[in-house]
Parts: sequence; structure tokens; C-alpha cells
Amino acid sequence: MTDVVSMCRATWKRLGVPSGARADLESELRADLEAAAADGVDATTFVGGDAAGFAREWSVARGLVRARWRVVGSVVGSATVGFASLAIADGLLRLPWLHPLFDPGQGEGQFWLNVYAGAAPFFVLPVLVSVGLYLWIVRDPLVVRTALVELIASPGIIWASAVAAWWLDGDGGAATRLLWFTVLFALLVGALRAVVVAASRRTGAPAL
Amino acid sequence: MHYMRAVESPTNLWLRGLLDVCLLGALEHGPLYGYEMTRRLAEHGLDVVADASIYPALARIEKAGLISSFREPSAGGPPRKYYRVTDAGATLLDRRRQQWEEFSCAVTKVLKRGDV
Repeated sequence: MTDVVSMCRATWKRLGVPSGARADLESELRADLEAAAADGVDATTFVGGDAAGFAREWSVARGLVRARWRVVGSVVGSATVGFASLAIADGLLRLPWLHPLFDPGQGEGQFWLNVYAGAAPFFVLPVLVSVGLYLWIVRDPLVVRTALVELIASPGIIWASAVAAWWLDGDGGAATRLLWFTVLFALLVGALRAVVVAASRRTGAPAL
Repeated sequence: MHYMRAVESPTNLWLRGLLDVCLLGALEHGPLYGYEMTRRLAEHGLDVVADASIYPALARIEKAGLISSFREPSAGGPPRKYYRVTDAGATLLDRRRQQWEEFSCAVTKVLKRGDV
């Protein structure tokens, strides 16, 4: 029982449920779990085997998780995770042949070929996998839709990030261009996430 | 896939639309706390209602003003949260009951062999 209550408490805290409301939910849950335990019902069974999902659904139904903060949280979370994974990919893969991928000194055709060849395996995949994992861990109902949209839109956001990075970087080198690309790509991942959430609200699909 | 699940086990699908009114019905005879409500439903044959599913449903109907809640001390444990039907909830329950009778009657007629 303690494990279930702790998991619910942690979920409410993560979702930003105010402390007074958290105490209220916990008190009701604890009292009912005790009654269920007296009947031989296990606490994990009581919450349907998924304490975090149960806690989330309950607090959302109570109106304790503000929609705006849920959206902002998920967008910022996606962008942060996207940035972190890109930064790690950038740090780990700072190979001599990666920076020339963003070198504008080459012919334009070769430059774009290199951007896509470098970005697809080393930037898009880590971002998709890490954002997908993050959304799956926080039990986001739009995880599959978000991953699909980001996969389909990835050529576009690679292009937009590379162009903007080149423009913003001015006379900087390939390393700073790569950093700009990382930041912009992560921001666009977050923006796409916002679009998915907004579209799901309009169509009445499972909301946050 | 979703359709196949509904064909194999339609009870959960039916309950999804009826849980709120079933909870109002369970509360009609007096205040109950959450777990007590699932027991009450199970006693009447609705043992497929998961304990966890009623809390969000209760929250929804409380927000809609159909039920209200209050706390009462329990023997030995933390105070329990009880729910009771409001006047608006009782009115809605009466209306839904009548609608359900008409609807279930119609479905029964259609499903009776040889009647259609």
C-alpha cells in the first residue's frame, strides 16, 4: 500500500497538484485502500495495476492539473529532452568528419546532402527515441502521434534548423553552427509537439 | 482492433457511458465512500467496475454539481470522504432512469428472436 501511495504522491507532485489538494487526494486514497485491504484487495490491484496512470487521471478529472501547464510542461519537456539528446549526440559524435557536414564552404548540393546524411542518423533518431521514451515514461496519450509527426516533419525541420543556424551564425565556425542547429532543432521539436497537442484538442482525440 | 475488443467484451464499452449514472444510482440510498461504491455496484452484478475507474468519474460528477462530498471520521483509520447526491443529481438520475428504461426496452425488443 505504501508503494502505491508513494507513487501517486510523486505523480501528483510532478504534475504540479497544489500541496493541499495532494494531501486531500492522498487522505481519501489511503482511507479507501485501508478499507479495501480489510477485504483482502491488494493496493496495486485496487489502482488497476498502474498507480501513476490512476493518480494522473484522477487529478486531471478533479481539475487540479491546469491544462495550460500540462501543455507547456509537455512541450518544454519534449524540447529539453530533444536538446539533451542532441547535445549528447553532438558531444559524443564530435568526430572530425561531422563538423564539415555543416561547412558552407562546400558546394550547395554537397552541403545539403551532408546535412541530411549527418542529421538523419545522428540527430533525428536520438531525438525521436528520447522524446518518445520521455513521453512514454510520463504516460502521454499522444506519444505515437507525436513520434509519427516528428518523423514525417524531420526533413523539414532539419532544413529549417540548418538554414536558420547558418544565417544566425554569421561568420562563426562549424562548431557554433552545430550548436545553433542543435538549439533550433530542439525548439522545433517542441513546437511540433505543441501543434500535435493543439490538433488533438480540436479533433477531440485523447487530450493531455 | 478497437471494434474487435468491443465485440469480445462489450460490457466495459457499455459501462463507459453508464458509469456516472450507475454511481448516482448507488448513492441514491445514502452517502457512500469510494471503495464502498464499487462494492455496492459489485453486489448488484457490476463487478466489472474497476475500483480505480470510479474516482475520476466521481470527480467529474462532483464538478458537474451532481454529487457533493464531506468527511467523516473512520474507526481507527484516517477520515473517509463520503459522497452524496445533490438535488440536481437526483433530478438527473430520475430523467436518466426513464430514458434508460425506454432505451433498454427498445433494445430488448429488437434483440428478441423473431420479433424483427
